Amino acid sequence: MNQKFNIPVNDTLPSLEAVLDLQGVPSDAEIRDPVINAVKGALQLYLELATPIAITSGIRLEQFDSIFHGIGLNESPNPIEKIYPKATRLTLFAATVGPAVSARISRLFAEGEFPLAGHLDSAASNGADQIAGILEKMYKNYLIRLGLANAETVVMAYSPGYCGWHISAQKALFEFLHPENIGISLRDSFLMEPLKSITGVLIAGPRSIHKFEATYAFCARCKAQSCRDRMDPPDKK
Amino acid sequence: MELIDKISESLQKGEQEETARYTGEAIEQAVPVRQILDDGLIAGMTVVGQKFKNHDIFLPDVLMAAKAMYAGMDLLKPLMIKEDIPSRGKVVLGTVRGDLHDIGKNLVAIMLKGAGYEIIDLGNDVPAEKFVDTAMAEKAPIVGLSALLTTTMPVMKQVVDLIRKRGLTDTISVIIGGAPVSDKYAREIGADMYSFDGVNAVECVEKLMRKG
Repeated sequence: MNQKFNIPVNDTLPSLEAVLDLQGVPSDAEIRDPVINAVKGALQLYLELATPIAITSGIRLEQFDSIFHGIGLNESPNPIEKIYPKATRLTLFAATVGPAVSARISRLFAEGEFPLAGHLDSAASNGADQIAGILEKMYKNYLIRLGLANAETVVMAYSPGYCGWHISAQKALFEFLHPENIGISLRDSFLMEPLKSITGVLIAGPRSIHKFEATYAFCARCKAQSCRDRMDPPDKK
Repeated sequence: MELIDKISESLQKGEQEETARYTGEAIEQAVPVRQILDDGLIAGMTVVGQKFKNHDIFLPDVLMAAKAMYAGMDLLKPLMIKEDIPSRGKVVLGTVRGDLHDIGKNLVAIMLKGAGYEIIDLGNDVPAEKFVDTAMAEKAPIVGLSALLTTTMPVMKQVVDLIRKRGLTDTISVIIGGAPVSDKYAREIGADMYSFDGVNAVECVEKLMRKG
C-alpha cells in the first residue's frame, strides 16, 4: 500500500555550513560577509520554493529482488546484494523537494545569477538528502509501533546509481511505486524530473547487516563516501 | 590604479557593480575593447582561477567573481560583435545521458567563458550522438563531458568511439570530468584529457587548442 507524506520544508532546510560543505569550503575557512549573505538568500529562497513530498510502499523480498536486479546491469559484486536479503523489512521510497526549486536553479544559472544558483542547488541537494534521513527515522518509528523493530534496528536508504546498483533499476522501481503520484517522472535515460528527487529502498535490520568494507572497484571512484558516516554508530559521529 | 587594473581587482573581489562601472568607464574612455577584455576581465578571472586552484579561495568566491565578470562582459558584448572580435574557440559541453549533476559542468562553462571561449552548453542527460553532431555542426574542436555517477561513465566511451567511427579524431578532441572520473579512465577510453575542476578545464582546453 502506498503512503504519501508532505514533509515540513523547515525540517529539510540545510544549515549554512552544510551548503558550504557541499561546495568544498573547509569548516575552518574564513567566509566573507557577501558569501554568507548570498547563502542566506539561497536558503530563504529554498524555504519559499521547496515543497518536499515523499511516497513509500512496503515490498516483499522476492519483489525487491526483481527490482534490484532490473535488466542485469548492476556492478558485480556489490554490497547491496548482500545487505537486503538479511533485512527484516523493506520499503521502497521516492521523494522530491518539488519542481519549483529545480526550475529556479536553471533560470538563475541562465540569468548569470551564479552565486544564488549555486547555493540554491547545494541547498536543494542537501534538502533531498535530508528527506531520506527523515524517511529512515519515520520508517523505524513505524516498525517499532508495529512491534517489528526495536531501538537497535537500523534503517538505511540505498539508491539506484550508487554502490553498484545500476540506475536502470529506476524503471522497475517506478513501475512498482508510481512516484508520478507525487509529481516525479522518469525520462528514458532513467533520470528523474524534478531534478532534486531521490528514490530507493529503505532497508531495516540490525546494524551489522549494513556494514561493509568500501573496497569494491566502484568505491575508488565514489566521491560521496556517505556509506562511511552511515555505517558509524551515532555515538561515534 | 589604472582603470584596467580596477576592473580586474573588483572582479576578483566579486564586486559586480564596481566591475560594471569600471568597464563602462573604460568603454567611455575609448580603451580598446580587446584590452578591456583580455587585461581586465579575463586577467581578473585568471587570477581567480589560480587562487581557486591553490585553495586560497573556494567555490562561493568563484561564483561571485563569475557574476562580476558577466556584468562586465554584458557591456562589452555589443562592441565585440560590432568589432567582430572572435572568441578563442568553441567548446561543446554537457552532462552525459542518464546523469543530471550539472553544477560542475556549469562551473566549467563559467570558467571557460571567463577565459574567452564560446560555450555551446547542451545541458544534462545528453546522448553521445548529440555531442558529436553538435560539435560537427558548430565546427567546435573540443567536446567536454561531465558525469557524476559511475553508472553513466560508459556514455563517455560512446562519445569517443563515435568520434573515432566517424573519422573525426583529428578534428574533435574530448575532455572528460566529474567526481568518479579519472585520468586513468580517460586513457582507458581514449579521451584526450581528464579535467579535475573548472580551472583545470581551462588549462586543458588551452593545451588542446594550441595542439589543434
